[in-house]
Amino acid sequence: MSDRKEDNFAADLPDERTPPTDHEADLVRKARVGDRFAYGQIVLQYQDRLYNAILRLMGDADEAAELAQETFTRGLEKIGAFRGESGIYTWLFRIGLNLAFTQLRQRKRRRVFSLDAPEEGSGAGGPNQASVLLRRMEQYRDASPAEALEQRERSQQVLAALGRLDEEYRAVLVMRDIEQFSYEQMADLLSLPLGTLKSRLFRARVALRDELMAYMK
Amino acid sequence: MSQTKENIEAKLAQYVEGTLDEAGQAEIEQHLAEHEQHRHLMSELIAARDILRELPRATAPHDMAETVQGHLERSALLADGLGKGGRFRQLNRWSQGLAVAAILILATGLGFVVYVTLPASSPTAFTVVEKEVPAGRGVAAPNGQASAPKAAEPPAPIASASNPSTGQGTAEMDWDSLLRSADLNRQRQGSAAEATAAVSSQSGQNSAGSSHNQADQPQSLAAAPENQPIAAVAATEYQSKSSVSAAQPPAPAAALEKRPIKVRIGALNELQELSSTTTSGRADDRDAVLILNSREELVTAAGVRLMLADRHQQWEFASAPAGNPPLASLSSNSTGSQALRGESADGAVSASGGQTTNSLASAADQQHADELQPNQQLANQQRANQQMANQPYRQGQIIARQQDHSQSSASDAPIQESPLQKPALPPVKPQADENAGQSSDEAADQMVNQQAISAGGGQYVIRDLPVQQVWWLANELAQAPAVGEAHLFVHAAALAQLPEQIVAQQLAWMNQLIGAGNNKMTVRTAPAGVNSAHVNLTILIQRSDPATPVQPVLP
Repeated sequence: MSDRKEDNFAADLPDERTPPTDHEADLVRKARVGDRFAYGQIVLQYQDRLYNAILRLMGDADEAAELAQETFTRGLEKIGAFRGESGIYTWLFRIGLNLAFTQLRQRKRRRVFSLDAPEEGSGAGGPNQASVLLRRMEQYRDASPAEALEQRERSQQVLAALGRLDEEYRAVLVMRDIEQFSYEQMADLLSLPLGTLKSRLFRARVALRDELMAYMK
Repeated sequence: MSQTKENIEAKLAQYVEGTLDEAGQAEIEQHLAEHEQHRHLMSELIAARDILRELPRATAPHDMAETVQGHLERSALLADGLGKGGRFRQLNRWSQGLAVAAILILATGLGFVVYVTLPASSPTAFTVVEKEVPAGRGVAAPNGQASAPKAAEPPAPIASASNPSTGQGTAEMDWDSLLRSADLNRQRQGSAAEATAAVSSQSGQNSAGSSHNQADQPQSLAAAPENQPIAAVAATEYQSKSSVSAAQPPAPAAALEKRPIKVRIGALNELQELSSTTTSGRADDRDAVLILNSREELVTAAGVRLMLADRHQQWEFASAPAGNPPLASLSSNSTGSQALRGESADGAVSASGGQTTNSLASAADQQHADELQPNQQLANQQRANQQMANQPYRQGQIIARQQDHSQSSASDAPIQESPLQKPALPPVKPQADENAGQSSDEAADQMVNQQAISAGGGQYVIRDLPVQQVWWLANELAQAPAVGEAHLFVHAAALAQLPEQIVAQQLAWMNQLIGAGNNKMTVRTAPAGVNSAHVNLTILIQRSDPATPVQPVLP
């Protein structure tokens, strides 16, 4: 059962374990020589994924957007240092992850995800309000109003539980369950031994289960 | 233990995710079959994983790509701009350096040009130098014979009263005693800051060939016991070689009250500069004495004194006892310089045979001078001048002490009480034969002066004053706030050489100038038969004293 779910989940995301396509490699090559249009194509290709990952780490849509933009900007500045040993998204995610950790350390406080807070966007009056509403309508288009409401509440509770976890646990959970990174990639990104990474991942799941105990019951 | 726990947790993590191998998965399921609680935990972990994976994916803001693109473009532009700006800044640094270097070069060049081209801005030098007395001015010869008189000088109708052969006729001006007397006068009057100043004048004129002997002259100093403190003052004589404001030797304690400054003045403008220099650079010297050396300079001193009148300083001006230099040239007055030096040496002053020597001699000299009245004209002149004996004037001295505005009452003390009222007259030994070259006006002036000295008069005779300076003198006197009341007499004989219209114009002008001031002055023609191309003036100066009316006496 677990394999099925994993396959279903993995089908929605690009497989990092697969080597980059020729088109992506060509974009990277052009971007390294200063082709900003090529880099723009890379941004368009990975902006949603990177933003989602950072949003789950940070728990704040505005900060996630800023960090995503900063990640792409720094990626362009440092594109010359990209050696191509990993995928371009993995490389960009490393940049975004470092920025997110830096931002979280600067906060020096535990991020509390408010259940009443909007899931994403900057709230009412914000520039993304319409797009957020459109996305929600699309997400819950096939569901009944009751189901849509239940799904929404469940998502908010899960996000709130995720936000209450330590950033270390949150990072490994996001990287594994959302970004679908392999153990090796996660160990490389976090600079951890593989066994330690797996142990931390198990503990992160136990912590998340504890946070979701009431919801799961 | 920890390693085992970490391995177990790693296997459990893989079991939850379904990535564990079959052997490991079988081992764990066997364990879970035995432990229902652990199975339940694994089920919850798998459910939490599924919930997390089922979270809806957030999409980036629709303008993120545009924002990133704009940010990238700005970064690119800024990067280019920074690169160019860096080059610009580098160029600007070079340009700034070049500009600074150019400014330095220009400033240096300009300074060099200014240093080379402009003259040195040293103050006017008042040097103490001995100047040769020009020939024809009656400088005393060693044998008592006077040198050739000035060609332009008219013959003297009146015999001289001096005896050049013996040197007895050489008048001396004991400046130290003069200053001492002024001090004593202040002490006796009980006012240390008395504003009445004793200014010496040139009075008697000896024969053109009169000689002097310093050894014979200091009796005036010796006769006056109160000369001792003045000797200390004289010791502080300051002979400026660069300027009056130059570093002065430290004055002794006795001279703190009054420090005479004796400066050789060669020209009128130098005296004016001296006045401004001394007053501006020596503001703390409120009681100093400026000694001049010739009659012209004395006249100038009056102007200087007038210029200093409003400076709230006490200055005394006195004419040096030197022989008069050529009146037409103030620069050739070597005898005055020598006299000053002699004064600084022993306190006595001797003239070296100028046309005129001024004196404040002893009473014995006065008696001796009375015995030597040569002719009737001189006697008449003496009688005429006798009238002035009763006048509160000083003869041979211009009281030019600066008024101390804070002690104006003391300055108005009667002059008659001053010991200068009865100064010692110089020995006058006129000889008829040898007075051929002596002008009558000089003899008359001498008599007037002698009489005035006896009476403490205030008449002063200015002889051979250029006409062009008459108005200047009148103007200066008219502007003097402290002179009081004076009478200015113009010798008619001198004016006779001039057109009548000019004479009238001069007189009217002088009266107008004097009337514009605060002083009561009159200008009259004096009945003196002087045949001179210059105007001879007789100035009667009296301090403002309503109780004592002015009684001008015609010479």
